[in-house]
This record gives sequence, structure tokens and C-alpha cells, in this order.
Amino acid sequence: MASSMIGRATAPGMGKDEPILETAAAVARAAGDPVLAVRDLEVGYRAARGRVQAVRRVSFDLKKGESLALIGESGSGKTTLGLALVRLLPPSASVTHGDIIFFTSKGDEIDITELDNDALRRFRWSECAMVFQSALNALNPVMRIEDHFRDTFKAHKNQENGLDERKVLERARECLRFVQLDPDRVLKAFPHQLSGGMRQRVMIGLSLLLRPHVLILDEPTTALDVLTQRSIIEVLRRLKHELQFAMIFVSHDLSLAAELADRVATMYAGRIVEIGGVDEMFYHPRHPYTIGLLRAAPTLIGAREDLVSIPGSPPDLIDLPTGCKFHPRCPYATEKCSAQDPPLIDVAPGQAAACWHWERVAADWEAGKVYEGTADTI
Amino acid sequence: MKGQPIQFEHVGRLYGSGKQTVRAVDDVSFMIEPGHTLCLVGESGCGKSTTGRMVAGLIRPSEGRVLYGGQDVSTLSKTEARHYRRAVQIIHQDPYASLNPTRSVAQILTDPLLHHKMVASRVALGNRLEELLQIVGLTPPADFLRKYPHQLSGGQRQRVSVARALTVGPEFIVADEPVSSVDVSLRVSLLNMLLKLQRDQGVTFLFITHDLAVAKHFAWDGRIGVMYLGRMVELAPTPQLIGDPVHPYARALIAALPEADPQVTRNKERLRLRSAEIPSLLNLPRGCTFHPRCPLYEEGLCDQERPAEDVVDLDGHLAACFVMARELGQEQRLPLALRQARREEPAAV
Repeated sequence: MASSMIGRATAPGMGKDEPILETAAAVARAAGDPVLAVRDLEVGYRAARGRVQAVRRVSFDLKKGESLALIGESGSGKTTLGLALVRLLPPSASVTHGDIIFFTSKGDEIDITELDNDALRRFRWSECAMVFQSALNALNPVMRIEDHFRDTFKAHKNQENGLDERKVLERARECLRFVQLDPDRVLKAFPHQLSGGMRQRVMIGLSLLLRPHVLILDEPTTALDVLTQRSIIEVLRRLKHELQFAMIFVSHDLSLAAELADRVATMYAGRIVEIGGVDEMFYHPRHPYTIGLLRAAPTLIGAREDLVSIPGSPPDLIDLPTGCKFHPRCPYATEKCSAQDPPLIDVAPGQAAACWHWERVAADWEAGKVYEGTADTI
Repeated sequence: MKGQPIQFEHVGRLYGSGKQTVRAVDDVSFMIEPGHTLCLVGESGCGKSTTGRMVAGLIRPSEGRVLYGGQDVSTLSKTEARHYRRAVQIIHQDPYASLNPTRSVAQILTDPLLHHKMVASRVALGNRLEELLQIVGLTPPADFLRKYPHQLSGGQRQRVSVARALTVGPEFIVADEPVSSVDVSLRVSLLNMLLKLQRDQGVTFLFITHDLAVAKHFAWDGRIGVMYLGRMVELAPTPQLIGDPVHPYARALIAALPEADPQVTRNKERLRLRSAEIPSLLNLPRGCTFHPRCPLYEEGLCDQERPAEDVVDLDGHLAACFVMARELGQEQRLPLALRQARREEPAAV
């Protein structure tokens, strides 16, 4: 990646809007040791029609051993945010503002937006690893699994992780066993000889190779069958409980967030519009978009409840609406919403929402009221 | 609209040849009454799409018969076959692939209307196009008629596919994963649109999905069939199948599914399978194909014969499991050999 594209702009307000002042303490200082702090991050893509504002002013902390789910629909910026955290953005994208600070295991702070290529290579995989959406595309089809492990080691080794060439395969076996794969069968295999679920587990095993302490997973269970999905969930659960991994997983699937996350962040049009503990987010949501997602998700247990869709469609990221980006689809929208983008403000301990009318939203939710105007029920 | 029932009688479908033959669908029987919904769920490779394609007449069964209004589809006369193909329409999973990118929405919808001589005049054509777009919720219609598929979102494209299926006034729609490629917020409105279609026009649905929660929502008043490696392992009215599944595979699926509710999903009882590996269709286990993974597996009972689709029959709640048949007091429905094998055992002890 050329350095010009990742040079940080310090001037605020690079976007079209006036800068948003985040006042929420909840966004930032989550109790405990942070392993990652993101501040005012902005990422944009160059496109023929103009600039795509994929991530806008995102701030959050991730603490040790915590798992954070980024949920949202396609185009909400969640994958771009994940890629930006390990600086894997495509050439057409650039970080235009903000800091991404990792607190390493030795207690150093590194701002990864400022790392040079060498430092970046050492940082990736040994501090933070990423598991991509499609395991089939992420593995090289003409390389055996053991060579993937060797290559990863060669590319990202550093002095500190105490692994030498001869021990790589030993470590690879450990990693594979942890994700419940038989190393004897898998190491010599080519990716096409493994099933989708096995490939996904290989990816997770590979990410453990250099003992990172942060893991970023992009849609880890999408496109997998139910029972396979369950086995991946169990692996991630063990990573969290036995190895105290900090994880960020990006997903459109609310049930995965309910299952694995300690905290959940809802993204809409590139911003975190609500963030909070998993129980607060599911049982006491304060942003109309989070509520919209919850009401649209079918559940299996119990009788059939009415599902309500969110009217309208996601915004054009090149030509965003003024004010709150959700206002054209929001039942609570007023004139204020179309004029000013609301900041994330504390709505409860550890929970923040970006909505001018969160108190009304809260009162309606707790009273079990749905806005009739938007109900598309049957 | 009153249509004809569609019935599968021991239908099988083979792919490949020689040693490389797989039986994608194996001895599947069911009946769908006009105006009702059957939802097929299962994991990839379970044969649900192949079944859907046979219902739609896109492929022929290798074994057994597909009956339309009581008549074998393969023996229909030319006119009858034409009528059948018009009566049964299919909506494919991927609207990117199933809509011709070089044709506008108006052209996509006009072709079948003219081909099947569904409209008498240019004015009638225009009216019909508007009406179709209204039904699928693409309003105002004038905004959409001149658009090409690439100018539409995934959800809108899928609505065009539905409108295309409706051009010929079908009585039966096979919907193969129609909402899988659509975002959460738009998924619900698509599902509700299809439900409305059924309510207002009495369309019969064969709805294929891998997502049990979607199946539950769509087929609450209908039935769900769970398929595994080409076989129907459980077929029951939706509330019973979700609330009180019989077959261990159906139970495993329901138990494994994460729920969008943290407390429910944390407290859900999981079912431990004996193996995570799905057997290859090229080399299926003997007897019940689920037995190598099944927590209820009993040697001598499960690995001998294949259980029929209706070994368990609780007032139309069907399941293909010998162990459960015995547990539920339906031992008389087991094949004779297996019944005796069981009876001898306690005597010997």
C-alpha cells in the first residue's frame, strides 16, 4: 500500500458533514485493559461517481478477552472497518482520519496507521490476525495446508514469538488440534480436499499460528451449513474462554452476535449508531435501526411472531442523506434529524446510541409499542 | 385460484453414471394440496433443490412418479404439458443469474405474456405490466419498467423474478432460496409479499430454504419437510416440527441453530452428534444414512435397512427413524426382521 494513501489527515471534518462530537464515554473507555482503541476513524473509497464514505467517525475500545460483534447490512461499512484495522484495505481505499492503536502484549502502543511495511508485517499475525469471509478463496488452491502454515510463518515471523523453522509444523499441529481437526489428515491435504467447514477451521487454526491476541473474523459462519456453523461457533467459544482471545467479528447475522458477543455495535452507513453489552442491545435497544434489525430477525423458539421490515433501502454511500443517515427510513424522524447528525451519547451504563429521540424510542420499546406506520406485517 | 395437487410417489433422481452415480433424491414421497405450503429444509447437497426442479418440471425423475392432478407428468399430452409448465413456475435463488442483464424489466415481463398469449392488446399488456409490478411492490411501476437488472438492488431484482413468475398466472410456485441473497431488513418484506400472494391469490408454494427460522415464518400454517442426503427424514406441520421434532437429525438442526436472543441461545440444549463428518453421496452408509452421526444409534437396528419415510406416523407427523418408532410405541411399523431382532434381545438377557 502506498504511503500517500494512508497518510493521516489531521484536519477534522473531511466528510461533507460538520464533524460529529462524540460525547459518549461508553464508546471509549470500556472497563479493563484495552487491547485496541479506535478513535475517529474515517475510511473512504474512490469511485467513478465520487467518494464512497464507507467508515465515518468510528470510535471504540476492545478490551482483553472481549468479543465485539459489528452487525449491520451489506454496505454498512463493517467489512471495511475490519480490513482497516489490519490495514488490508484495497488500493482504492484510504484512511482519511483517525487512529487505530493496538496495545501489544509487551505493553507498547502502536498506531497501525503509522507503521512502515516491515513493522506492519511483523504486527500482522503475531499481534492481530484476520479470518476472511470465504475460506475457499483465502487459501491457495495449489498449496498444501502445511505450506500455508510455513509461508505464514516465514512472512510474519519475528524474534519475539520464539518459534523457529523446525517447530512450525509442531505448532501447526497444535493449532489444528485446537480447532478439532486431525493434523495427520489435514496438513498434507490441498484446500479442495477439505469441506467448507474444515477449510474455515483451517483458517482459524492458521490465524493462531503466531499466537496473536486479537482476532478479526469477517462473517465466520456465513455460507456454512447449520451443523458446521455450530462446530465453528464452538471453536470460537473455546478460543475466547480458554485462550482469552479478544475478537471482533463482523456479521449480518444477529443470532451469531447473540451467541458469541460480549458487546455489540450496530453499524449503519459507515457509523456505529449504537453500541453496548449484548443483553442491553437485544433487550433494551435504543436506536431505531437496532430495533428494526431485531424485529426483522425470525426466531425459531416459540410461536410465530410478526416480522416487521425496515422500510426503504440502505442509503447511497456516495450521496448520503443529510443529518442522521437513517432518517429517511426512520419512524421517529423529525426535522432535526434531517438537519443534524446525532452524536453517540450515553443512554445507559456501557451503552451509547446516536439518536436524537432515543428517550422516546426507549419508552416505546419498553412499553412494547411498534410504530404502526412502518409495520409491514401480514 | 383453485389448482391441482402435486404428488411425489417414491421419486428418485440419479446424477452421473457408472461408479460415479449419486442418488441426489432417494425415494421421496409427499403431496401438496392446492393453496398449501410445503417448505423443504436441509443442508447443502440434501436434494432439496433437485426436488424443487423436478416439481417445476425442469428435470425428470429417474425413479418413481410425479403426479399433477393425479396424472403422471411424464405421460401428459402436448397441450397438457404446456398447461402444466404454465401452472408451475419457479423462482431461482440468485436473481443476478436468473435475469437477463441485457433486457429491461418491461421486456423481461413482456416475453412470457406474449409467448403464452396472456394479453390481447397493447393496452392490456401495459395494464398487466403495471398490475404485476404493483403486486410485487415495485411502485410506482413506471419507475421500474425501463430499468435493467443492474440498476436494481438485490431485493428489487428478486421482486422482478417473482413478477416474471406471476406473468403466466401460476397456481403453483417453487421458490428456491428466494431470500437467501437479500439483506435482513428487506428479507422480511419479500417473505411477507409472498405470503400475501398466497393469501390473496391462493398460490400453492414449495418453498426451499436452508434456514429453519425462515421456514418457520413462511410455512407456519403449512408443513416442513427436513431432507438429509437425498431422503426425507421428517415431514410434519410446522408448529409440531419446530416445537416437537422427532427425528434426531431434525432435533440436531433445531438445537444447533443460534437464536437472535442471547438468553435463549445460551440456555438452548445442544445435541451432541457422534461425528461431524457428512458422508459422501458416492459412498452412503448402510441402513439409515444418519446412523454414523446419530446420538440414538443402535447397532443391528439402524445399520441394516433404510427406514421408510413414514416409519413414525403420529397423525401425519412423519419421521424416518426406527429408534423413535419404537420409543413412541409404534414398533408394529418396523420391518418384521427388525422387530424380531429387538424382541429376542430382552429374552436372551
